[in-house]
Amino acid sequence: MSWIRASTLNWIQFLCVKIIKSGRVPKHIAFIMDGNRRYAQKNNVRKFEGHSQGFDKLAETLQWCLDLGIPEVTVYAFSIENFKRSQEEVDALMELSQQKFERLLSEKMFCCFARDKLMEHGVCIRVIGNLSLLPQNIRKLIAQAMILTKDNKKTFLNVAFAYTAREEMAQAVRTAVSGVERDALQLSDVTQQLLSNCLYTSTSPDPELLIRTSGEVRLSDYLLWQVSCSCIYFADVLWPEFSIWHLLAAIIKYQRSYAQLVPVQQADEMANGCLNERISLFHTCLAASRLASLEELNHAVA
Amino acid sequence: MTFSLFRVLWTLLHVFLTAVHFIESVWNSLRRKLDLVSKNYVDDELGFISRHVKLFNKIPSHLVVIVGNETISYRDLANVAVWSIAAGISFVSFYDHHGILKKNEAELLKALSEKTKAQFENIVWGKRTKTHGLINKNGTKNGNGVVSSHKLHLNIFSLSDGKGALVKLTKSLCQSVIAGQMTVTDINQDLIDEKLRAEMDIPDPELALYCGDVCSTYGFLPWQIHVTEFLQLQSHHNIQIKDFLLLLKKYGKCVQRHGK
Repeated sequence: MSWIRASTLNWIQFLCVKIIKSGRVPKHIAFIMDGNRRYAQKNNVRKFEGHSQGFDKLAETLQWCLDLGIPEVTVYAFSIENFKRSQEEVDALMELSQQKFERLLSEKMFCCFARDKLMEHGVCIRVIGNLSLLPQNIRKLIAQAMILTKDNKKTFLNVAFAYTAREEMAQAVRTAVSGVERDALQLSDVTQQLLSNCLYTSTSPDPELLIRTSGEVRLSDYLLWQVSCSCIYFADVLWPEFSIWHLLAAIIKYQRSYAQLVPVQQADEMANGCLNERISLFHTCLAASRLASLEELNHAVA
Repeated sequence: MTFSLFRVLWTLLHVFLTAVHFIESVWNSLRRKLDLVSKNYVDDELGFISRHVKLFNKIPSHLVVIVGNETISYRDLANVAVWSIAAGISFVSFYDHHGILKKNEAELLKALSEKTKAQFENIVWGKRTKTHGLINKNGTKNGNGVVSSHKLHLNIFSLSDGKGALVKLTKSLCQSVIAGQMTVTDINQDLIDEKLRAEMDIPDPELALYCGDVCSTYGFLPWQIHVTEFLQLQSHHNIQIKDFLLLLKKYGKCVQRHGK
């Protein structure tokens, strides 16, 4: 199963997409894809099957987002907290991820005529999280996928893997303090904007809409900093059963909430602080060092 | 031509939804007025609450009300604070991203003292409030001989207490590192958590009630809300005990797996 499916919309759904699209759509949507295991239980299949169907739903959702003209999507694939699950389940999830990343890379290498839709649609894949917690083979695959797609600029898929927001924020604080310690930054350079740009999501705009499925109403340590001004939509449906109608409902909610959230965004922006040459240089160096780490992973012997 | 047609349909859709929403709010508002008129007033508000919460699976130790874009009704917030004491909630925070509530803390103080004398002495004003330390914490005496050992810690937060507090902490850590009191590698999630906890003096909020139709954190304490349950409170204006209890009941049903 490929990363992006061919469009699955019937003509009525397609028309509805066109209608919703004529209003404002978010430039970046974040998803908490919750409910795979409950789905598996409900349908009497193995958990692995639930997760696999969850991946299929992800592929379908990406296609809908492309149809709706939403250029960036961030998904919560694996939380650091999920390492607490049984070894069997964690291994199964790593196995699934390995399959999907390998598929992505092999399609590039072997199919010239039937190119993976990912490259066709100019999708840039970024994996955010504490990659050092992952097995070496997965890290290498992730590095390869990110380097392969790094120059794609049309759409962006961010996968939160071995991620929690607090680990990300702690890492950003550490990065900032380290910058000040080695004189790359001054104390006065430490601002809200600086911390934002030290997060794993530094190259992405904040998500305007966050959708969580399965009916739970919490954020579970996901993008806590980045969703300060976002519209949050809790959908009472298990992720593998998520439909275009749920997505359209969420976007309608976003359209109706937008006006009330603009002043919050403005207040947040005002608290950002000023940019200067030193800070810009710091960010450039940070981006370069992150890319260098990926290259190193890429060339490491698996 | 087709572009405009879709836009027209889109506009009609939103007009329709607005109309539905309007009818719903008129209906809800009428129902409330009928409720207020016809039902027997709860004589012993606090006893009523204490009895009902015993039936719930769990009660949050820290409840926050996110006012959102509503104008602040001090009387109703005072009600929530007092009801929380009866419900056994130990920490209540009010969050208003505009900062108006912080500026007008005296109004809340006034509303609370008007609401209740007995419970007023059980309210401990948090570190982030102006009233912190000003009120004589005399303990639990009151005239009726009803002993309540339950204290409520009250806090008021605004936008700068969220990301702003993390920025401030980062600066302070920079100074510590430069002064040689610690190294960069000492900085981790646990350290930051410990420092923020000491600064705010609150446990992480377990339940957040957001007011209005728009579900958002409005910038509320990003670090602390990692497992907070978000429930909608249509409006905090004229909030009734049954609304409050219904939300607590809903919270009681939330099951957290913590990643497992």
